[in-house]
Amino acid sequence: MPKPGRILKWLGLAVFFLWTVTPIVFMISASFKGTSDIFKLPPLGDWGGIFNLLFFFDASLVQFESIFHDGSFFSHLLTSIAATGLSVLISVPAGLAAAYALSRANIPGKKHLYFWVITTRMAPPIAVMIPLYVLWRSIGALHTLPGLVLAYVTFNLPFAIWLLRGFMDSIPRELEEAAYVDGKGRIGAFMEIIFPLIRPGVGATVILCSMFAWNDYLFALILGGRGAKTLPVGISELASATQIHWGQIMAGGLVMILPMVILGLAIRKSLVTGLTMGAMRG
Amino acid sequence: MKEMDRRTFIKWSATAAGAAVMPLWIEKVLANPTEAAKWQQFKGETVKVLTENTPPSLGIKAASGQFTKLTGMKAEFTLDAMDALKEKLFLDLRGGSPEYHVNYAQPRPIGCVVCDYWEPVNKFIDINNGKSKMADLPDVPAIDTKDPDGLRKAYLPKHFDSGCVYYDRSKLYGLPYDTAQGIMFFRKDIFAKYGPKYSDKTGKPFKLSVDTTWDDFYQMCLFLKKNCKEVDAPLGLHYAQNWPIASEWASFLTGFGVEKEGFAEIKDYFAGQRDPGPVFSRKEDYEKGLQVLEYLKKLLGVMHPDVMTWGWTGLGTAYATGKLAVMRNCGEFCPYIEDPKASVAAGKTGYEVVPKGPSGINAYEIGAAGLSIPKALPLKEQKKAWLFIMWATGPKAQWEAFTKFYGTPVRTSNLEEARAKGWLKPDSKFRKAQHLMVQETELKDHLPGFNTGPKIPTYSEYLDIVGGELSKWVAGRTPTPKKCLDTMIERVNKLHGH
Repeated sequence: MPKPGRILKWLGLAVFFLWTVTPIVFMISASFKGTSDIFKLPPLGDWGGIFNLLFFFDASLVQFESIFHDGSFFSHLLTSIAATGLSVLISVPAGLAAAYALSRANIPGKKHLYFWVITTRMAPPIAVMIPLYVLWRSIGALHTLPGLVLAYVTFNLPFAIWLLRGFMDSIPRELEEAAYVDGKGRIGAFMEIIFPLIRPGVGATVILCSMFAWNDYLFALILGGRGAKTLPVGISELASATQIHWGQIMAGGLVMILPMVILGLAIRKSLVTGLTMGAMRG
Repeated sequence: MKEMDRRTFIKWSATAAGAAVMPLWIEKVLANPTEAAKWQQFKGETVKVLTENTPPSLGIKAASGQFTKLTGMKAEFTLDAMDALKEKLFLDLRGGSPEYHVNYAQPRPIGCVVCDYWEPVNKFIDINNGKSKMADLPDVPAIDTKDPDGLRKAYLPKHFDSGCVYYDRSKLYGLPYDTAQGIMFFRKDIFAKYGPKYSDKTGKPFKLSVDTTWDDFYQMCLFLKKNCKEVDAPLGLHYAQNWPIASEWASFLTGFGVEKEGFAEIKDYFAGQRDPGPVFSRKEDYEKGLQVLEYLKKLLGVMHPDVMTWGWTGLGTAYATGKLAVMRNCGEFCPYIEDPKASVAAGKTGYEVVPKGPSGINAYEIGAAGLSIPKALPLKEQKKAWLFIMWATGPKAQWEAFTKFYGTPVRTSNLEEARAKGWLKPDSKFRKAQHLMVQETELKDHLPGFNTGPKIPTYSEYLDIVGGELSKWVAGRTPTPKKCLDTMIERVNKLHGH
């Protein structure tokens, strides 16, 4: 007979699974239905009916057709990809360089500098929105893709530095010194010794920075505006003052989560290793 | 010397006189450009418009080709949901260097908070007759500038008061642009099916009319709840926190006879007041406030259980998907409700004035907004904005937005035109104008019910308090109506230093 603890564990896992997966299943199911089918409910007490409504219906691509119909959704998708990709391309290499300096160089007060770097990430984005808006407006970056990328870099770079420095600190200096003995310079030692060892950590940083930029709504709404409208903002506009296009929102939501799911699956091994890197030190 | 004949003399004299007058004429022409030149002076430039993503603005956006043809300018629209719009607009105005030329001026929750950042249009026109004060700008189109009250007469009643006046009657912060007015939407098929049974049983008519009271209507809803299986619930209102339920509160207070949402010291309800004084300071208002709280809860008995999550849009969606027999919502939902692709209630919906409260007032909420111009813009940019506003609130733009894209016209001439076409009748085939007929009746015959809520600079905070306390009350988290109202009063008075 299974132990009560084991039963409880599986029960807890089952509840957690249902709690997290049900909304996603509902979203996927609704995105393949016609608008009137989304609002169908089974009769009271018909639990089997819920299962039928979620999984057995006449699938239709009408919601996807309608969101891609006028090209604006596709344009938001491209903006999201560009804003996320560019911000990660800037934040992670710059973060690597800064983290390396903070980890290896003898900089006076680097402990305080390191802490200061991460404090810039501690304030909620809304708290810095007014100064950022005024600044962006004055430099002509408002409602532009470069302006939005810069906003994401502002938040992602400190995070990347903070995360990557932790990974670098876990690499023994002796390994690097061995490379110097072999005639490598700092860049050579970094590329051939440190980078391969912290690659899982870099993967985790890429994922986490991407998720911040990809899912961001506030910066895209205020700073990106009309000129750099990303998917979260585009999808939110499907709810107007007189009508909420639930089917299109569900289809848009599905399109939006797919790239992150694919990215997560592609580097899931690195992600797990990366997130646990430095947890134990010898 | 050869003598000049008479013909030659006249010719030369005319030429000389013409040459003498020419500089004066040129000067006059330059100083008084033609009407077309006044509209075209910023040809090739862009006007940035920040507005709400509602049918009226979608209509004006779709009609903006007219604006480009008239002015040679391009109108660039940013259309957002109210919350996003508020965030952008407040930041843009308070940042000191506005990006947008034209702001959507919903009186609450926008205008009463940020009106000081807007330029009164007194700068451009005589606010009585619409005549331009600047030689290079046109008069407001289609206004009888000889009529000392010509400007107001050209727009729907009270719409200036609602969307363009803040705290000081001598200033006008824009021109009326759209209207969202509370009316009743009901399923005619359900009323036809259950009405005779109800009348047989009770001897009372089962219909909505200007004479129906909320108590009559409540009894009808109870009957539907017991008998009608076609819908999930008889009635829907918007009870979501904060603005939706606060709007219901405001309407019911008016219907129960509480004026100015309980701010007895506000002298001019439509202009508002920067210091509104204590709320519910009059005993009779307080007693009626308690009755309204009880009534809001009583109505839950005939409403859909999801009402506490519904704002205007959620409510509209519920009605359109066949969950409700009746809803009270803004008239601008009519085009959506009458769209057979989006709504099961299309062609089956009747429209009527909101029922009477115990005070005998048919009270309805109204969100009549204007368009305004940021004060911090340079004069040239303000002029561009002003040209756009005059066009967008003019009869041609409003008519096109209304007929082709379901805008909500605010020009009285548009309604006259619709009436002439026979659209303002219950059996009209132009179904998407049904709300205008009811709205007009409300504005014409039930003006005391016109309810915009208080214009106070602290409206955002006020809304948090009132909406929050009401939500707690209807959700059963406050034990008594007295406790709810006392807490609300204490917090609102503290907010205003009373």
